[in-house]
Amino acid sequence: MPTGLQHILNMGGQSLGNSRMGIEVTGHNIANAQTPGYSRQRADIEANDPTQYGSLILGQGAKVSRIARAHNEYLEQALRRETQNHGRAESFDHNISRLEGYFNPDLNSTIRMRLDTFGSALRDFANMPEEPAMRIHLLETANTLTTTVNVTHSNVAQLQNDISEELAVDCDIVSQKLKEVANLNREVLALQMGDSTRPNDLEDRRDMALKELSQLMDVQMYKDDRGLYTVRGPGGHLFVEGIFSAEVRLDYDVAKGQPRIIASDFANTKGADITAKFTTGKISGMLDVRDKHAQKIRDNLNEFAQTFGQAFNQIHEKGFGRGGFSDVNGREFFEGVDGQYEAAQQISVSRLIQQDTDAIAAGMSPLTPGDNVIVNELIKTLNKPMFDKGTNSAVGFYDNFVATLGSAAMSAKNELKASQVVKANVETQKERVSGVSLDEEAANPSLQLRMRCSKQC
Amino acid sequence: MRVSERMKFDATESRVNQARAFALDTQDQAASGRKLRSVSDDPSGTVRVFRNRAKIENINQFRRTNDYVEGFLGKTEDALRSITDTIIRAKELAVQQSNGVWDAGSRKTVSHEVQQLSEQIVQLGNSTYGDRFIFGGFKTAHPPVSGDGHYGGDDGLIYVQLDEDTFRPINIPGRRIFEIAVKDSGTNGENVPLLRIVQDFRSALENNDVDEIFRSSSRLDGALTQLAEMTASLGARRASVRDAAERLDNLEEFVLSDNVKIESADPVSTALDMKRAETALSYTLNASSKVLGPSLMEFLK
Repeated sequence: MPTGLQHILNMGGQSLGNSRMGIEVTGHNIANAQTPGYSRQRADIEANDPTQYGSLILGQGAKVSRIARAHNEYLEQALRRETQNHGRAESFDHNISRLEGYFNPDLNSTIRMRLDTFGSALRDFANMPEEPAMRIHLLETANTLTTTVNVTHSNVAQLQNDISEELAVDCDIVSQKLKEVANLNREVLALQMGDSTRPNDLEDRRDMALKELSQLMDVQMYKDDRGLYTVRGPGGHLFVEGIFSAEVRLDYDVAKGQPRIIASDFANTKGADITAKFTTGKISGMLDVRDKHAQKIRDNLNEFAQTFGQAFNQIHEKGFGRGGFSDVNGREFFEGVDGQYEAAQQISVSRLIQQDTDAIAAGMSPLTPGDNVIVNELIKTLNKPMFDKGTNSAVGFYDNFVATLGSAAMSAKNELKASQVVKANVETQKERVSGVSLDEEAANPSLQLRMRCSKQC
Repeated sequence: MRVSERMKFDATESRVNQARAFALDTQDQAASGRKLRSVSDDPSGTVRVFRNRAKIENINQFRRTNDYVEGFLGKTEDALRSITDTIIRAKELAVQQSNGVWDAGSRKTVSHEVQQLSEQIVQLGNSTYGDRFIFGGFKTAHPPVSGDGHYGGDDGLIYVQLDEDTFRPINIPGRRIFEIAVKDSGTNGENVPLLRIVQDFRSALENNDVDEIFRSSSRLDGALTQLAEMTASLGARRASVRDAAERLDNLEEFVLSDNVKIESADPVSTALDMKRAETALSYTLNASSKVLGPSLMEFLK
């Protein structure tokens, strides 16, 4: 006789258990309402299998079949993708703004301004080549110009170093996160032993770790049949498989150029250079500025110093100076522009001229103090097309590379704005599915049922 | 649509941030008075500003050059006019003394005046502007005309830049003034120093040699023609310098207004933007305080 008092009490007890479970899930949800990456959970209740009583089929109450998390894998993927884009846009914008800052139009100490002042001093000198004060003035403005070129070069080089240092930190973070994913894989595996329940909170944490990884770099992943994630990084490099994870580090030991990013294999510690493989995420934004834009500016500065310095020297060498130098020519004006090292770092006014401004050549012919033919030629080098295969002058070349940098910085700002909007959209969509609403939890049927059950039993 | 707790907070956060960013930006613009604060604000505008600034720097430079050149040319013109006056006086005396009514005694007296004139020519030939000998060509450090009238300078033309694309010579090398092409039989087609013509005239007066006085008179004519040519070319140069100065004024006005257009924030629109930013921020904060309010939890007791 299943319909005894015992049976009724059993069903009531189970029902009370169900609703308590529901309330616990609700409590868990409310506690995590503000936890980043948390997915709302719900207790799925289903009817127990009925029993047959004579010709009748009798219901047996209800049980909690599982606790599911509100989760949409498609949205999770989209969010990872947008996080990557946004991470890249953000770091690219941040770093290129710093680079751009060295060329800002409201700075008075830019190369462009110094070049104008230098041209002005040259013209003063052309007007009065006999005048020692004009020579000293010219030397001073030339020194300021070369120092500004040196400082700008070192600013750009310093920015590259700063980025490398930050990359080293990010590489450590990546290694830690990869280890975390592998550890979570291990825990998921342990919890699933002999039980098919899904460890919702662990999965949330693993999703969160992957999202943080996505913010930094390219990440692709797939779940194997045991529910473990396999993670591949930039260029398809294997990062996590089962309980094993790779290590990522920055290698400073390079003969030339910038430090490289090395990813180790699980067994082999030598690892592979994946620097060129990054296409998205924060790290790729940083690499882009370091290896493309800043490097380009650095190369441009070197070309600027070398080409202009050499052209200037070529004319200067023809000329004669004053006093002890009034009948000897063949002196260079700028040093360090022979292309052996980085010209923008090395360029300076020649030591001879530093010691004695009479060595500055003004005249085409010896012993003619009023001769300014060479100075006039030097003035013309400022506007002479010698860059970009003889189509652009020194100032034009400078203007061009600054404008190119400015355009890149401008589109970086726009990209950042766009990626913010898109990411926020996807985040909202995800929140719609997975987020916790207090109103909803308050209206939870378990809560209501609990009240009623306790009255009846 | 489901609205989760985090959605409410995230949306509020992003809206408040947006309003604050806008307020900060307009504030910055108003405080600095500039709308061009980094290259990326307007890359092509920045390049135009660079070019205009270089132009302004150059304009100031060209003005200084102009002032200097005006002075130099003025001094040259004065000296040249005085030399011409001297030669005109010598020519007058030559015409007068070639007349038969004058005797040896009076010619002797006149020769003293001519001696004075020749000394004046040496002095004028060694005129300076600042410390520069203006008639020496490139040899500006030494007096170009020696006591015996030989020209010791060279033929160097000192070019200076008057504006972006004009280089003009400012000096007249003394050879064209102090060496005269003479067309009579007394030379082998060589040029004769101006001073020698005057001194020959003086000797002729002393020696009472009327034929020689005649010849001097015609040689002085040749000298005057040459001097007139030089004066004319000098006048043309002064005119071109003044032209350049005028062009600079026009250019400066244009360049300055162009830069203001690109660089400066418009005060009226900046003020309006600031007001807008203030209103937007206060409304956003106000609305947020309402949205983040109580939930159903509190009404279910």
